[in-house]
Amino acid sequence: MSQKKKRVTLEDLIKRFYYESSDIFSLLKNSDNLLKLDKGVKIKGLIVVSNSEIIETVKKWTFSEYNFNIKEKRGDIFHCNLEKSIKKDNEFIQGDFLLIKCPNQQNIYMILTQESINFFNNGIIRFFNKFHPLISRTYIDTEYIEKILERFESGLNHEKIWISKQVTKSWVRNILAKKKVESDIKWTDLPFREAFLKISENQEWIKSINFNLINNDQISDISIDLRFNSKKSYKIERDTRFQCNYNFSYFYQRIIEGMINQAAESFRFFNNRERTVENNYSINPITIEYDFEIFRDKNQNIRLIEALRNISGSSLSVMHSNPYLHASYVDYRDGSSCDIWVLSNNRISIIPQIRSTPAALERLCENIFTGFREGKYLEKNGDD
Amino acid sequence: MSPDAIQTLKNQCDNYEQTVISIITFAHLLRYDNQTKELKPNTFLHIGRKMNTSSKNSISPEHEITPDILIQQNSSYGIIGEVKKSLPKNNDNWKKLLEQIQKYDDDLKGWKTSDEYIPSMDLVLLIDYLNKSEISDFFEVKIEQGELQLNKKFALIAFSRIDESETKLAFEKVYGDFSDPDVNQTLKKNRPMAMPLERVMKYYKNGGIKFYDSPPPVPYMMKVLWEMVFPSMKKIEDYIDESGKRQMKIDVNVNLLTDQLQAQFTYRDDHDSRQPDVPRTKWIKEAMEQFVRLGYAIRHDSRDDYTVKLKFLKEPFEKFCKEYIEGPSSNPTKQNTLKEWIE
Repeated sequence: MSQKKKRVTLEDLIKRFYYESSDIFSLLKNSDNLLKLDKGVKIKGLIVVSNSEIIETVKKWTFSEYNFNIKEKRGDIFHCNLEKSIKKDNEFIQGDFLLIKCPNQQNIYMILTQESINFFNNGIIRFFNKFHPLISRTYIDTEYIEKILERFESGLNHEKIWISKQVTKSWVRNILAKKKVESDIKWTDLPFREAFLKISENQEWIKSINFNLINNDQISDISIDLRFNSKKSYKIERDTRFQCNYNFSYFYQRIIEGMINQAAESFRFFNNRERTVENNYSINPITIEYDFEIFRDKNQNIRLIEALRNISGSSLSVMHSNPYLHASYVDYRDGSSCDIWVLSNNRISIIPQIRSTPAALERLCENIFTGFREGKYLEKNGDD
Repeated sequence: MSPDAIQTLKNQCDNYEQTVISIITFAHLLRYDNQTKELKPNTFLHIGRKMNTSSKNSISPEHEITPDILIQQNSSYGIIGEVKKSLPKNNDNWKKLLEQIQKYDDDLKGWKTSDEYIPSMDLVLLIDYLNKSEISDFFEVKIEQGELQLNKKFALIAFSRIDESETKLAFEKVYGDFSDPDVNQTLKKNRPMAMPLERVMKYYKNGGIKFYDSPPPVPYMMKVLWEMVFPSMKKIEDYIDESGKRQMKIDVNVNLLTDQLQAQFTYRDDHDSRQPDVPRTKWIKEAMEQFVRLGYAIRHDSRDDYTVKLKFLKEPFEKFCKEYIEGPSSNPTKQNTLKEWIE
């Protein structure tokens, strides 16, 4: 009599995900198998940047509320465990995650877990934020999100991307309003190009986007509520957090790899900007350009100042605000500082000083993009 | 103390910065070659330069003087002068200005030539456009009355900001002439020449030049130290270690700070021993003493050593201007730790 084949359980697949992923190929395979079981598992992840070997940095500090352990190292993949006690709520959260050095990249790492969203956001992310600027966050903008969705859809044969939820930000037009940027959470049901067209028309920028894959046959059937019938759902955020419940390897190849390359490009762009003795204190400025004369309206100087003042853990001194703008900015998270000038109607110049870490500069620019308006960096290729 | 006093102080700081910008932009206007799109070769700018007067100098014979600006166009022609963004209301004080110009009306030694003399040299006074009528009238009268007699050519140049799609600084000759035809061609009467600041600054450390040979208002110096120098003196790792503290302690020495500021925030191209050491140690010492007075630092017995208590201030410049006038706040707001602030 043939022996009955043992049924693979969710626990088995989670174990394989954590314990048997030794390189990117086995990781993708184990992730796909885990999601294939269709037990409501979502793989959550994040891309982070580290100046040096990330694990050495993480091992160097201990924080009273966290207990971090490396369970195993296989190649460039670390299987880690994190416990966090939240005194205020008398709560304790713990879970496992994988910390992966991205293939062919020096400074870029990916964190993956299948644990709860609470553990991911309040445990893992808060833990890694503590190492800023040695370990830092990286960001993508609305245009890039649209670009990677194009790439994602271009590889699909019978399915289309439909946006189910979007979180966007936009200006408050009334200059006297207390809030200068408003957030909008929209549960929607639109093909992604249409959704992006509306976002562009409304001069909004994306914070996060949830999307489903819808079969071409279903699209014309109006009796089907596409949002709730798709079992293939994904989420990407501008701070490079992502979630996926189906076909992780395709998601990785079409979206995450692009985000990793973008993170590497950003690191190169923001790195080595500080003024040093070796380069005779020369200056390596960053210019953000807009495709119209945004600062023709001098109220925009005030809006920019307010966006800069809202950056947590930073200070701003305004020397001159109208008609041109000159302010100096300090990021107290690592002692970075820079001058900020607006001397033309469509550009912001950021002048790094003696300490200007890539983490601080990217954080500053991201806050200008989200708190004021998305622009383009001059001289940054931004292509992957 | 009235808020007006604080605003006046802030304006003085702004004027100081604008004076630096005016010096740089005026020099660029004369040094930049519009055809080659580069600085003309063998031209020099010195923001302050120690020059020696001759024995014939009518005001200060055989002395060392330091004009605000010296532009050497080539080995046979240069311009020397002063920049006054703001002027005292009482025009009795303007007589000092006359003396200053007269002092420069000499065959000065200290140019970048083989014998440090230059065959031809003009005098210039840069003033804010708002003051142009008053000052040009004043100079005209003084020259007509013979109170100001100059051997060199002298020109009064007014500068003003123009806000188009790019912010520009425009220069207009309001009185006098230059001996060099090219300079006269560039700077004509009633024909302002505008330079876009963004493009000019690229040639001069992108706004990284913060001092010229005149003491800045104390809060200006405090701001530069607090924002651009002190935070970078702590190791990056310390920011992770000390995120739970309400302030970070940083040991500083006035002489070392002076060296750092001089290297970082002044125009040092073609620097030599005739360049004044700017900013001066005493300006930094004065700012450090203010930090002590306002409770941001303590002085050690050695007098030049201090420990700065780097607190996380949201708007340092505002706070320094206010406290410089009013003294330290008697009811200070709760100081957050870095951790509390970020989270």
